[in-house]
Amino acid sequence: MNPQYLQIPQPTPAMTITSIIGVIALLVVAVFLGIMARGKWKSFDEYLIGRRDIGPWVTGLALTGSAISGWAFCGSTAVVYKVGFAGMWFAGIWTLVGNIPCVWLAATKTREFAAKLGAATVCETVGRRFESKALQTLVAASMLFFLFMYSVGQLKAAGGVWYAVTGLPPFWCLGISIFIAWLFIILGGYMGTQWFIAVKGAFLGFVGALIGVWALIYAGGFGEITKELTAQSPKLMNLIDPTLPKVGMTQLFSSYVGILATPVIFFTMLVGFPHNVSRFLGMKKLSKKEFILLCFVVWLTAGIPVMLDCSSNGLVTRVIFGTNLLANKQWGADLAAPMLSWAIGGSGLLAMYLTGLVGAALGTLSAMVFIMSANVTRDIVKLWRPATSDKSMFYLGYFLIALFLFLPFFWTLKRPPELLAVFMGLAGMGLGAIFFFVNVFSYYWKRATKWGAIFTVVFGTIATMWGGWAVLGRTPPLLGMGTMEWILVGGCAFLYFVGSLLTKPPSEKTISLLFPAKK
Amino acid sequence: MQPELSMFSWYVWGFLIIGTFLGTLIGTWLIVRRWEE
Repeated sequence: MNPQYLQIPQPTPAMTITSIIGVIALLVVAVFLGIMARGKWKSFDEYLIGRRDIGPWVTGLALTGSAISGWAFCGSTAVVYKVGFAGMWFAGIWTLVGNIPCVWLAATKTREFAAKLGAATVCETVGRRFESKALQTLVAASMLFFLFMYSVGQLKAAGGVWYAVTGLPPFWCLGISIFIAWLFIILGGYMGTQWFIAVKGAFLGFVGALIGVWALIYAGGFGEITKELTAQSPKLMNLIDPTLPKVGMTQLFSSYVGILATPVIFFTMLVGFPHNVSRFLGMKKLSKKEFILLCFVVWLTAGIPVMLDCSSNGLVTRVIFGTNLLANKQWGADLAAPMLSWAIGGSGLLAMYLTGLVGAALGTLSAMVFIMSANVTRDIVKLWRPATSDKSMFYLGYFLIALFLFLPFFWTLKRPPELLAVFMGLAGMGLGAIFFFVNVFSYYWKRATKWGAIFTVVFGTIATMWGGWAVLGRTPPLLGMGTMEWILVGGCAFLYFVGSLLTKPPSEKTISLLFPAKK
Repeated sequence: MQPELSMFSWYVWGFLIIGTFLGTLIGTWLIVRRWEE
């Protein structure tokens, strides 16, 4: 510990009590929204999709809530705290480059395609758009695999920070939180989940902006931050630091190949993520004014807060704490964001941050778990056994939601996945590369075919698994993550376009339904 | 000796933030211009 900088505080009663109150308030809101939404659905279809009548405010906030995960709210500050400015490329400075195009490209089309095709899930939309049950099953299986990988890391940051800040074991906080998540998902279905994620999105936007602006003022502005960091190590101010990380050739923040890959990663991920695109399934048909409002809501809540969280917050933490947080072997840089909140705003701001972080993890996890459960119930069981009763689907769904919530909880307690950021980055890269083409691009290209989509899904899934080994599992790594992203996106694009051009498109009936001739 | 202070990284960061925000506004305007009610 360097005495020149602030030390990690021991948990005090004030920190513990305010944090508990914050999380309890969050969970009460979650249950309340679940109960409120309970009367809004009557069939399994309505449970999955609502009544396609949700307006731009809730939809926009839900997109923000779904896109800002525990990683964006915690891990991104940690990366910048650890490596300085060079880390911001990986830390999500590009978030808006993905979220706004997600609205532009996917919002109205997802709603329109799903409504025309009578689809309740993204997989069903894809399956019916390409007239292929096999493709729907394949897409559901691939989505399940990726979302599962992605969900495993969701609770880690919240659990770690909870323990570090309150001194209480994460078992009860996370255990009660996932039980509440299960309760509001089964009570409220799509509608309740959408409402919860929207409330969380609004809260995250507010807390994120508050901490970000407060931190900049507290540190004395850009000039003072530069002065302090340069005194610690001039490398912290470098846009690229070739010595980071020590292994790997084209890693995301130490090479130009990697840095050029990051906007592509964020663009394809945020546009292609099924849990983002699904926010539009239950949306109402928007007027021009409502569409502008939707863009504005996302711009406001996912713009400034995330950019500050992903960049200047990490630098200010470094100014305040030096390398003292890294001396904590258990949580290390993950403590950057909560410790920054505590340093600048005391227990009150810390509790708000922690509530936001638990909410961020819970909201994104709920969105994913809801889709994972529908992948099995609607996209596999109901697809191949249409006679299955709604009652059986509900029971199977309730069980799967409990299972998919429990597993990340279990792995968070028993064997926390290492390198949270990098691990989640690879699953996200795979999801983004596949579904950007198979789902969103197919809204616009009527020549796309089921074989183009099948090749893309198969290649993307296998390449991501291989990439996990080549980039993360092997010592030394065979290639950097930057190269891996280009292989994934390039391969998916090639197979999608060439595979489509060489095979037969869907029937004229479907094409004319989805792509009506302009008047 | 004090190392030389460079604000270059902040300029890039500011350019990105302002650029994406302006891009958002312009892109949205371009889309709604062609909107068919």
